[in-house]
Amino acid sequence: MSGPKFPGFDTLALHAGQQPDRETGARATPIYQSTSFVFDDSDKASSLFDVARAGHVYSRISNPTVAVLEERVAALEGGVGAVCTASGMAAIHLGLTTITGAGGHIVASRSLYGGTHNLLSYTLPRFGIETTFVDPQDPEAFAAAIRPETRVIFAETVANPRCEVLDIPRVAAIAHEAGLPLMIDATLTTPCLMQVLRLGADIVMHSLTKFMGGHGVAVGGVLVDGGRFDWEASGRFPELSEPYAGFHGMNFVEEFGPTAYIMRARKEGLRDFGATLSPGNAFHLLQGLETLSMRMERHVANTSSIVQFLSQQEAVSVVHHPDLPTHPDHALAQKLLPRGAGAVFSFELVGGRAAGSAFIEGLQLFSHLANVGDAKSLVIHPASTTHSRMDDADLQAAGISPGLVRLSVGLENIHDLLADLTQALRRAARVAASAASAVSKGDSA
Amino acid sequence: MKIRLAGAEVFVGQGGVDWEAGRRTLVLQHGAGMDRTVWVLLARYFARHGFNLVCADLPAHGGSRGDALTTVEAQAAFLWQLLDELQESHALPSTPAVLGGHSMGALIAVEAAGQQPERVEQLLLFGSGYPMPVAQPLLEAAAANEQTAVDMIAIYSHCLKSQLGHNAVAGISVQNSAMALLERCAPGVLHADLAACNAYAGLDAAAKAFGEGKATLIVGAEDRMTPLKMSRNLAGQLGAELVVLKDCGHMVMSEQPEDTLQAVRRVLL
Ligand SMILES: Cc1ncc(COP(=O)(O)O)c(C=O)c1O
Repeated sequence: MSGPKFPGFDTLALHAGQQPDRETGARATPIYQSTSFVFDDSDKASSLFDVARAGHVYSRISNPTVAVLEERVAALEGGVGAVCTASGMAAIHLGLTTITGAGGHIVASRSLYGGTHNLLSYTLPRFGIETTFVDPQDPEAFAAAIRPETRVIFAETVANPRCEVLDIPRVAAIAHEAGLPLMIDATLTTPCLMQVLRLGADIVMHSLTKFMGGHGVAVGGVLVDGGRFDWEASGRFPELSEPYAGFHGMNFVEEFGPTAYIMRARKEGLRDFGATLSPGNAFHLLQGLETLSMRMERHVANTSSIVQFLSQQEAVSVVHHPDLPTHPDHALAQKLLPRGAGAVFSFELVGGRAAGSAFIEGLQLFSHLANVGDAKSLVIHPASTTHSRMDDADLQAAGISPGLVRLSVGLENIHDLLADLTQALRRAARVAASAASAVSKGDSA
Repeated sequence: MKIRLAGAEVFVGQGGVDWEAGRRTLVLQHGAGMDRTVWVLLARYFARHGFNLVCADLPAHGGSRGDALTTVEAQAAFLWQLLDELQESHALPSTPAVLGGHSMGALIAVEAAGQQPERVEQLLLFGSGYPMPVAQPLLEAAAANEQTAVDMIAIYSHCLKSQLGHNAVAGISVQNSAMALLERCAPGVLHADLAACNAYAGLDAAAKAFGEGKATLIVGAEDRMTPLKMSRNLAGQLGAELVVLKDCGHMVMSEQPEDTLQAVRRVLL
C-alpha cells in the first residue's frame, strides 16, 4: 500500500522551518539582525516570560533566523526540536551539561574529535564531571563502564581519523537497558548519510561548521532532541522531571513531555552559558544546508575514487576507510551507512613522519589546515595539530600513528584531485626512498 | 499533580499554577493518542488569567496508568469522576466549569456536558467534528500497533505548511513532536481511542441535553482528520460559533498557537 508520505529530505533541506516572509514576501530567510524583539503589549511580554505564548524575546535565547535553522535540522534528523549554538563544541557542552553536573559521569568513545577529548578529559573534570573512555568497536565496553552516577553515553557516528563506525543500534540498546540516553556527534556523516535518531540514539549534535554548512565560512553547532527518551521513568534526571527553581519551579517533563530536554537546554543552558549562534552565521549555514544531499553525494563519490586510488599505491601502507573490505567496520558500514561512510578518512604513508610532511607540503589543491567538511579538499597531520594535546598513550589508543595523514575530500573535479595526490605521493616516495637508503647505507657502514 | 482514582494513578496538569478559590475552572481534554502536553501554552496562559486549569491525562495516556477506556461515554464518565474527586479532596472549586477538548477530547467534553449539563458553563472545542469516522486502513494499522498508524495521523493532522514548519515556538517541530507523543502510547491504546471516536453515536442526545448557543468550535481550514464538513455539522448541532483558522490542520493548538489563543481569549476573557 502506498500510504501517505512525509515531505522528502531534499524538500525539507530547502523548506523546513521557513515560510515566505508575511510582511515582505521574501523567499529567502531574512537575517533578523536584532538583539531584541518588541512586545505587542504587556500581556504578551509577561506571557513570553511565563512560556505561555510563543515568540522571541532576546536573541541570546531565540532569534527568528536561527529558529529556521533549528527547525530545519530538527526536521532533517527526525527530532522534536533543536537548539543552535555558537559552535559544535558549544553544542556538545550544552548537550552534556543539560543532564549532568558535579558528581556525574559520562561513558564516551575513546575515538573522538580532539576538542571533545579535551572537554571530557580535562575541562569537565574541573567541574566535577568525570568520563570513562572505551573502545567504540566494543559495544560491551560501554556497558561495563556504566556506574550508578552515569548520566549519558557519548560517541561519534564515524570517528576521525580511522573511521571506526559506531554500532548505534547496539550501543543504544545498552544505554536504554541502563536507563541512559545515547548522545551522538554526527558531524562527519550528517543526516544525509545516517539518521541516528532513527537508529535508536536519543540526542544528536553537529558541528554545523563542517558538511552541514559546507562552505567553510561560518562556525556553528546544533543540538537535536529525539524526544523518545523517557526521562521520568529513568529516575536519574531530576533536572527534567522535578521542579527547577531557576525557572519558576518549572517541571519540564510535566509541561513539555517529548520536548522536555530541548526546552531545558534552551531555557537553562542557552540562557545561562550563552553560547548562542548569531543570525548572520545561521543565514550562511542555511544557504549551505539547502544543497546538503547533492554535496554529500559528490563528497562520497570523490572519496570512493580516492580511497580506491590510494589503496593501490605502493607509497601508501594502509587506508582507513570503511569502503574497503579490509576495514574492520566494513560490514557494519554497509548496513548502517549504505549511502557512504563520509569523506573524512586517513591513510598511512610508507616513510612515516618525514614522508607525511613531504606529502602534505607537496599538495597544491588540497589545503593544509585544521578543518574538515569544507567544499574544498583539505589535508592535515593529526599528531602535530588536532590531536597534539594527547600524550603518546592516548594517541596510540585513538589509533593515530606519526605518519598518519587525514583527508577531507571536497567537491572538486575528481581528475584534478587524483592528479594532485599523484604528484604529492611521488614526492613522499622520494623522501621515503632516500630515508630508506640512508638507513641501509648506515647499516652497511 | 498525581492523584489516585479508582486504584490507578492519574496525572492532572494545572498549567503550572496551583488552584485557588474564586477562579473559574477550565477543563482541557486531550485527544486520541495524545496527553496534556498538547495544551501547554493555553494552559499556562489561562492559569495566569483567572482560571483553575484541569488538563488530565486519560487512563493509559501520558502520566496516567490504568487501562484505556474504550468508549466516549466511559471517557466522559471518567472525567466527572475525576472532577468529583478534585472538588472533594483537592480544593478545586465546585463552580460550573468551561469544558474544552481537542478532537476525541471534544467529543468527550460534549458527552460530559450532556451527562451533567448543570455543571458546565460552556464548551470550548478544538479540531473536531461529528460524526468522527476513522478510515479503515488507519484503524487496522493502529490495531496492529504499526508505525504507519502514527505516520498517517502525523501527516493527516498537519497542513503542508505545518509539516514544513515555521513554528512560533523556536526550534520545535510540531509534526515530529506529535509523532513522539503518539509513539509513547502503549500497544492497543491508540486503537482503543480511534475505535471510540469511530463508534461514538451519542452526540445528538448530548447536544440536546446540554442546549444550544453555549459552545465555540475552533478548527483548521485544512484539517484532514476531522474535515470542515464534519466540523460544520458539529457546530450546527450545538448552535456553536465556528472559528476557522487559515494555514492550519487538525492540531490547531500547535500549528497556529497565537491565532488559537486569540480565538479563545475572545470567548473566555
Ligand atoms: C567530529 C567533530 N565534532 C565536533 C567538532 C567541533 O566543532 P566546532 O569546531 O564547530 O566547535 C568538530 C570540529 O572539528 C568535529 O570534527
